[in-house]
This record gives sequence, structure tokens and C-alpha cells, in this order.
Amino acid sequence: MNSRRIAGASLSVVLLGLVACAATPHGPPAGIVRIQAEQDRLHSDPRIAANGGVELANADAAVATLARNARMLSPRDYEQGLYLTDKMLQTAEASALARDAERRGEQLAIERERAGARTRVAMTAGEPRRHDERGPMQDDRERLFDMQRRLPNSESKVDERGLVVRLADFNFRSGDTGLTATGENSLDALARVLDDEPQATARIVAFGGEGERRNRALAVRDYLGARGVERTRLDVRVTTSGAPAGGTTGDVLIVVRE
Amino acid sequence: MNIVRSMLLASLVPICGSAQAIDRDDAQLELAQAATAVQAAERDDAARYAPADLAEAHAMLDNALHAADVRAWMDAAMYSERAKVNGDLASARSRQQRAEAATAEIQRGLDALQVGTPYGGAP
Repeated sequence: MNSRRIAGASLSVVLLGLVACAATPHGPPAGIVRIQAEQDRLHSDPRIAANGGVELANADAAVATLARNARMLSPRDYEQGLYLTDKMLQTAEASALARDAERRGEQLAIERERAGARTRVAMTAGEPRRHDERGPMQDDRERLFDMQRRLPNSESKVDERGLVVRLADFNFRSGDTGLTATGENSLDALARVLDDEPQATARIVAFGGEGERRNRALAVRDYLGARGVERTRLDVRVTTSGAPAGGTTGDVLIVVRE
Repeated sequence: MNIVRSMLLASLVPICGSAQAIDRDDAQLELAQAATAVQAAERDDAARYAPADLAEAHAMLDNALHAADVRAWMDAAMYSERAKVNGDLASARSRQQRAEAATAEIQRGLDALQVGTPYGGAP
């Protein structure tokens, strides 16, 4: 009788153990699987893997820590860890893509400078140009090209008008005459160049008529003025033609001449 | 700051289950760091380039301040951490958007040069 009871109890213990094992989830929680998949996606993108920096390293450490300790955390701490890690992964992705775009921008600026140099060679190889009051003299052109080299992150070119710096429509806040950070960066660099070249003057040309367009040109003049460029060196003009060729309505061109 | 976040994440296990481990000083330190991150995002023009992330950072910071008002330090610290990571994310997204816009602008200038099309008409 006793042996039967013992056998029954043993069987119950074994069955309970099997049920407990079956009820225990295997593998990492779904949230961990999701962020690990996201982590894998970031590492498989060469733009992100190459530019991840400290943000990606920290996100990797956070994923590893959370995965290791997920089952020991309270639901609240687990959710908090998951939230923070998810945001860290997103931050790592955005930071890496920003670095990638900045590096591409630098390479393109060099390429643009080379393309500009090729254009200059092509121009000088042709029939000699007569210097008149519209075109800068050769020495002046060299100085303008020198100025252009000091504006690596601005869209600019040297032509018969002088050094032409373009502020595109998106360099201004939409529905506003205020400049974006990119526009301000371009003007900061231009103000430094004008500061080094006291003989240079700038004509600020707004396209698209009066109103907001003119206000954009005035905003550019005021910004340069606030950075030490004398107002007497800055001439504001508004043209009613819709847009410069290759550009859009709302562009502002700054034409610098010696 | 990210190192701090990693350290904090690594320390979640010992903190777990002991809400009293977060005191007023810890919560206020987290709050200050969160406010700094949100201000940095605003300076980075995140209102224009990453409005959703900035809005979430503001919402979490508000939650943290309300929790601190009622001395719920654990909640205040938790929401502060969330505000901070959202502020960092808004700054990063803003930087990404500005860099991509600037690169696209340079690319258009290069394209114009390569096809020989001037982008400026006679003023």
C-alpha cells in the first residue's frame, strides 16, 4: 500500500515538473527578439555599420544587457529598458546616417570644385574674352575662385557676374523669411570671406517678385550685417522673373565681386 | 550621456524591485539631464526636422515634472530617462535631415556644373 502511495506521489511530482517545464516560455521574450532584429538590420547596413560610432556601441551594449537580464527584471523595469534601448537604436541609426551624409557632402564639394576647375579650363582654352565692365578681370577671377574654395559647404560658382552663392528655397523656413541652420552656415562662411576681402561687394538678388521674396533678400542682408559686413557693401535687388535657371522660385543669389 | 545611459541600463537589475533606491537627488539629476537634452534638441531645430520626437520628449518631461511635484521619485526618474533619450533622438534626426538637405543641395550644384547649365539667370 505504502509503495503504491510513494509511486503515486513520485508520479505526481514528475508530472508537475513536466507541466512546469512546458509552461515556461523558451527563448528570449518577443520584445528582445524585436530589438535584436533591429540591431541586426543596423549592422547589416554598411552606411550605419561604418558610421555608427559611440551611439551604436552604446545601443549594442544596451541590447546585450537587456537580453541577458530580461527574465530577472520586473515588468516595469523590463518595459523601461526596452523603451530606452529602442530609442538608443534609433538614435544610433540617425547619427550614423547624418555622418554618412556629411561625408558624402564633403566628397561632393571636392568633386564640384574639380568640375568648376574643368569649366574654367574649358573657358580659358577658347577664344580670349574681352574684359568689359560686366566681367571681372582675370586677377579678380582668381580671387573669386579663392573665395569659393573657402565656401566648401555652399552651393556656389564663379561666372561672368562674379562669385554666385545660391541660397535655395529650402534654406529658408517655410512660410517665413528666417534662415534654416544650413542657410545660416552658408552665410556664416560667406561673412568670414567678406571680412577677409574688404574690397569685395555683394549683390543680393531675390527671385519671384516682391513680398516674401524681397523679405528673404533683406533677411540675408541683415544676417550678413549682423556678422560685421557693412551695409554699404550689400546691395539688395528683386527680380520679377520666376526663378533662376536650374533653381526654383524663392531662391536668393548672392553675387560677390571684387 | 550615452555612457551614463548604458551604465544605468546595466544597473537596472540591482535597482529592480527596490523603488526606494531612487531618491530625490537622483530624480532631480535625471530631470536636469532630461531638460538639457530637450533644450539641445530645440537648439538643433528639431521643431522643424523631428517634431514628433521633440513632442514626445516634451510630453515625457512634463510627466517627469508632475511626478516630481507629488514626490514620486521613481516615476520622475523613469520619465526623465525617456525624455532624455527622446531629446537625443530628436537632435540626431535633426542633424541627419540637415546633413541630407545640404548634401542634396551640393549634388544639384554639381549636376548643374556637369551638364553646363548655369543655375543663375542674369540678375
